[in-house]
Amino acid sequence: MRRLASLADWRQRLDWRYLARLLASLALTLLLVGLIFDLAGADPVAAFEALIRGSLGNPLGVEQTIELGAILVLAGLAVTIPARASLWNIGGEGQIFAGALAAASVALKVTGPDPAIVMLLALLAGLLAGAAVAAVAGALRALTGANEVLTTLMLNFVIALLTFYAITNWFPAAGIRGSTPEIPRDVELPTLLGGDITSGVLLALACVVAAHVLLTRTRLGLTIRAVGANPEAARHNGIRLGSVYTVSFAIGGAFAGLAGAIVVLGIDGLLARDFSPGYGFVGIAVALLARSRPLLVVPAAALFSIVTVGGSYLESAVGLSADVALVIQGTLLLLLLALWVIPPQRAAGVR
Amino acid sequence: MVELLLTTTVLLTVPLLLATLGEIVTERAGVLNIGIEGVMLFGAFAAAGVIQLGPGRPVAVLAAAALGAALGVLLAVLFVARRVNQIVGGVLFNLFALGLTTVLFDRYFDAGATGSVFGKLALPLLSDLPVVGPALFDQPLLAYLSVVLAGLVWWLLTRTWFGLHLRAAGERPRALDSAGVSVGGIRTAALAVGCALVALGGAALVVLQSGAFTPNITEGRGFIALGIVLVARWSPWWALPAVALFGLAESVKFQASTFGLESVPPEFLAMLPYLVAIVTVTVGTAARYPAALGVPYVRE
Amino acid sequence: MTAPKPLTEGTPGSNEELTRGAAAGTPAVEARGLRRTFGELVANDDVDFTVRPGEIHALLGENGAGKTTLGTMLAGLLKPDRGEILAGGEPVAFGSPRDALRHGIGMVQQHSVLVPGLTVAENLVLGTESSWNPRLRHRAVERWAAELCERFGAGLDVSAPLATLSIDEVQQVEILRLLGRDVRVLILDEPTAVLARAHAERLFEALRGLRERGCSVVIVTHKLSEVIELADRATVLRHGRVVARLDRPEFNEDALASAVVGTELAEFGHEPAAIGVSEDMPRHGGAGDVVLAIEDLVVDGERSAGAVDRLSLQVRAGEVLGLAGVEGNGQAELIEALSGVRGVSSGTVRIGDRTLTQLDPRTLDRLGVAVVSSERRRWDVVQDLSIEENILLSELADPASDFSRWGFLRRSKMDAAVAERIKAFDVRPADPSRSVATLSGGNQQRVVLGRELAHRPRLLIAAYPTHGLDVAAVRFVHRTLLKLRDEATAVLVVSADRDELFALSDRVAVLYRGRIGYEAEREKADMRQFSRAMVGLGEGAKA
Repeated sequence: MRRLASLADWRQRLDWRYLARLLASLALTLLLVGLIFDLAGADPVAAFEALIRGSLGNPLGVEQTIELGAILVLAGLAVTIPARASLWNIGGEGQIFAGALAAASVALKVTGPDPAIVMLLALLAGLLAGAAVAAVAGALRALTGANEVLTTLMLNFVIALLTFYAITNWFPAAGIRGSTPEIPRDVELPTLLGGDITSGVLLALACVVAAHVLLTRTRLGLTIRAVGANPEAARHNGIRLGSVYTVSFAIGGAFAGLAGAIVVLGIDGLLARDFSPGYGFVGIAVALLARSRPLLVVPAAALFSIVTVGGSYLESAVGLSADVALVIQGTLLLLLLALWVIPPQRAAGVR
Repeated sequence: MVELLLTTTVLLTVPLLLATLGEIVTERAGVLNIGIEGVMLFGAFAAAGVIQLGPGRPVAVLAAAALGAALGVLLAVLFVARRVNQIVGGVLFNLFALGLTTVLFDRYFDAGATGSVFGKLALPLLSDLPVVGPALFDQPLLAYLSVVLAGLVWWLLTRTWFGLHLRAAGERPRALDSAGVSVGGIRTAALAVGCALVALGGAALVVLQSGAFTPNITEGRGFIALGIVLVARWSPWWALPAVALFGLAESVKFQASTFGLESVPPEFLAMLPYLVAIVTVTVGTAARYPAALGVPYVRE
Repeated sequence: MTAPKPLTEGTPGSNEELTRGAAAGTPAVEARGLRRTFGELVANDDVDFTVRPGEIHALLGENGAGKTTLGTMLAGLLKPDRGEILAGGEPVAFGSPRDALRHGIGMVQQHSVLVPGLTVAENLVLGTESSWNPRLRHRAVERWAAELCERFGAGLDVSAPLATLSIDEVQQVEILRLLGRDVRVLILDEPTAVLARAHAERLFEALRGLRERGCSVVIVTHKLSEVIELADRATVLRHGRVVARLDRPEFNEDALASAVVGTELAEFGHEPAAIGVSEDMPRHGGAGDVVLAIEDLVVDGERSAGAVDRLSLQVRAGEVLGLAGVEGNGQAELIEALSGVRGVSSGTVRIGDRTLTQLDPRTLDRLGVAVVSSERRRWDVVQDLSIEENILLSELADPASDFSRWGFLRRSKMDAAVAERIKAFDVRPADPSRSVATLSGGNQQRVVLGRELAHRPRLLIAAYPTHGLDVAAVRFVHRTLLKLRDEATAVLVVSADRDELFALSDRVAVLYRGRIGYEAEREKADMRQFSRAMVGLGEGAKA
């Protein structure tokens, strides 16, 4: 009964004009990107083909796509939860770094307990580190009214720099410059089914379910949604806005921190200076595409992951820089926004 | 030693100053341009590109400004006409800019090539002053121009009708609309002017330092400018000391050894600008925020 | 498109064309058959209105009478659905307030259209020159502004930032701004709403001065005293229609008052039956203990102190007290204070035997106070949530309630409670998981009622409860209110609809300028005194 009812809701919202705008956005994206491919000296058709082949047409590509997808899912969730409370978490990048650093620290320094326990502790550390960083921005906002957009943007850089420092100074020198030594095998996240894909992927999916359950079935989730939709009505019904803002931010940070931890423990196997090509910011795009719905974050992240991994193959295939992925993602989202496929929200300024 | 510090400070400061001035114009009209980083990047790219094509540095700088103005209009379509959320739109634009400039860089630029930088122009008499002379008054023309631009921005904001309407658009757009002036038009123009200045800042990065473009050459300077705008209380005059403060922090990082600060890790010195911005945002009151900043205007 | 007059030319505020019109005897501005609706609400219905040059004309009426709507249409801020407007005898169609200004018509609205961050002079000249003009000479601008002020007798420091000015000075600037653009017909919407007595006097002086210069002034007001003191002619609106036109010699307190308020119950379709109250409804026999006792309450408003000005009021269990009064006399502040979202400056509120000096939503909730209003967003549905989430919102949000365990919502408990409420409040469609965004306005209101009234409250404050609702929903709301009353709830209804109040209430009171101007049992109410109190002529009422 419940599921059918929400379908009825959906049908009311979609209409042919909306679909037309959606299709127009997609078409324009392909057009513009093709143009840019051409400008950059590559045959557009060959480039698109290479993109798909690179990410989905070979085993390594698929593996990378899935693993990157997991990270982007978490980065997307990091933005999604606060977004439901009408807050924008721009600090995802810093929160991911914090999580990665915390996880690497625990994984490399804590030697006593069972390796499996260390692994769990490292994951937990990553989660908490991300949450803590986010909470700082939230607290600054609550206590001093400091604008969280600017504080989180600045914090991103501060934490990244802290991480760089830590890599060279807190850990013994590694073989590769600019990264920590490798994490011991048994502290790493196990892989799935004896293959090469990290179980971090399952963790990410579990987080999606957790986020969905949080929003739809818990009291906290309800208060977050209420605050996001109508803060005055929420307050009138006894909900404290300040704590909702802080908690939703912290939860978002936790997801981001976990993403960083999974990169370290499951994908890279160490902490490298340049491990994040802007995951935090891409997470914003993912959340936007997913309309801030945890379940939709998965296909959105998948799309972005395909584009990103495919993009990295373009270098060898058609001579294009991997950063072309950013072009595709940016263009798509900007068009979706410009054509109101993603509608402008109720006015919320800088305060 | 101090001379060297001052000299490098000035050079580092010019791009920041231009970007800050541009953002001041935009924000006082009520538009929060997080995409400043991307515009700056495009400006640097354009300048380097034109230099490679041959016409020379002054043309390159002008081309960058022109591109900036065009980008400003594009952003106006997004933020003013389509009322896209300014924060999210800005972030996406930055991603797009980073991607596009990097991709095109690969194709059109030789990595590792260095171009020419602007030569210095010593001001008579003033450059003979001890200590400050060579540092402050023996700089490329663009450096002097950027200070002049600060004055021009002040004049634009306070001594022209456009500036008056712009300030009204940022404080209470309804009043401006009531007075019969198009809020959207003013904000579009503000974005065009502001982004032209920001792109100029990007160009300055190229023509003052290496003469060439490298991917992500801006490295977050645009974001720092966002913080500086707050420190400077949206005043072009106060932007000068504010930018100087940040430039100083950055050049201390470079000159650490001369200050006996080798023991301080370079990363912590690099954090200085950002920490200063956070502290200022926290401590400084929001009292002087342009009241309508970040809110798209809809006539009700 | 005529360019704005350059600052250097001409003297500010001169009205040359005016004499032309006056000589010919044509009205300065005229409305014929104007009609304007907002959705289902008919704000103006076939309104004819004429303003002569050199007169002060009052547009009189209660809230919802349509006077502001008429004013905004004349000033180009709103387009009429039907009818025409003539300026200086010629038909015009205003596409924007700027068009109207060019024809010499301007309006000072209740919400300021000045920029606090600019100086007085800058505000006065805003928009008078094209943005392309590169030279803004401050000294010339200030000189012009100073001349303008002097010409109209306003002693303002034109270089002062607007934010440093007092409220009445800001209003002066609002008026001067229009005068500086050669306005000939000045429309003022409730100008004395935020003014102290002395300042109101000064305003009246200034308006008389404008009249001497041949300007026309339209003053939109609900205060009879102002009309009698100031106006040459008055047009009275009620429910969107013109019900009376009087010239000064005909001014008479009682006539005006009854024209504004009306004395018959059944008018323009407001049949008692349509309100859902009929003779066979059981009348509760006598009221119980005092549930709500307000004593000497002072609440400050957004822009002025003492919006509620030493108000004293009592509501008993099992009775409905209807609070009448034109909007803007402190109702909003009173309701906000009673629901805990606005602070109380002084005075006490007693609920049952608990005396409170400050109120907050949680405490009020625990004391059994429910508030329902169609006015503000806070008493609205939460759009993105489902019906069940809305209807149970405050319980669900409360960690101490039964509806959640370990942070998880207990669907089984919810289902039972929701089904009950949906049935009791007849929400349609009756599917609890549907988003409220898909419901009609009336059903959304029922959801809100279900949220607020599920636990029979001790005290119910219903503010404008049927505003904007269709007939069926209105009937439902009234039935619900009366049912609660019969179950011994104390009910305080605030409404601008006099008919509704008289149909529902056991006792009626009139709120004027933050105080009770008149109070009586419904059956014994003296309509004349009631009407007079509504427009400020009650005993003990301030002028």
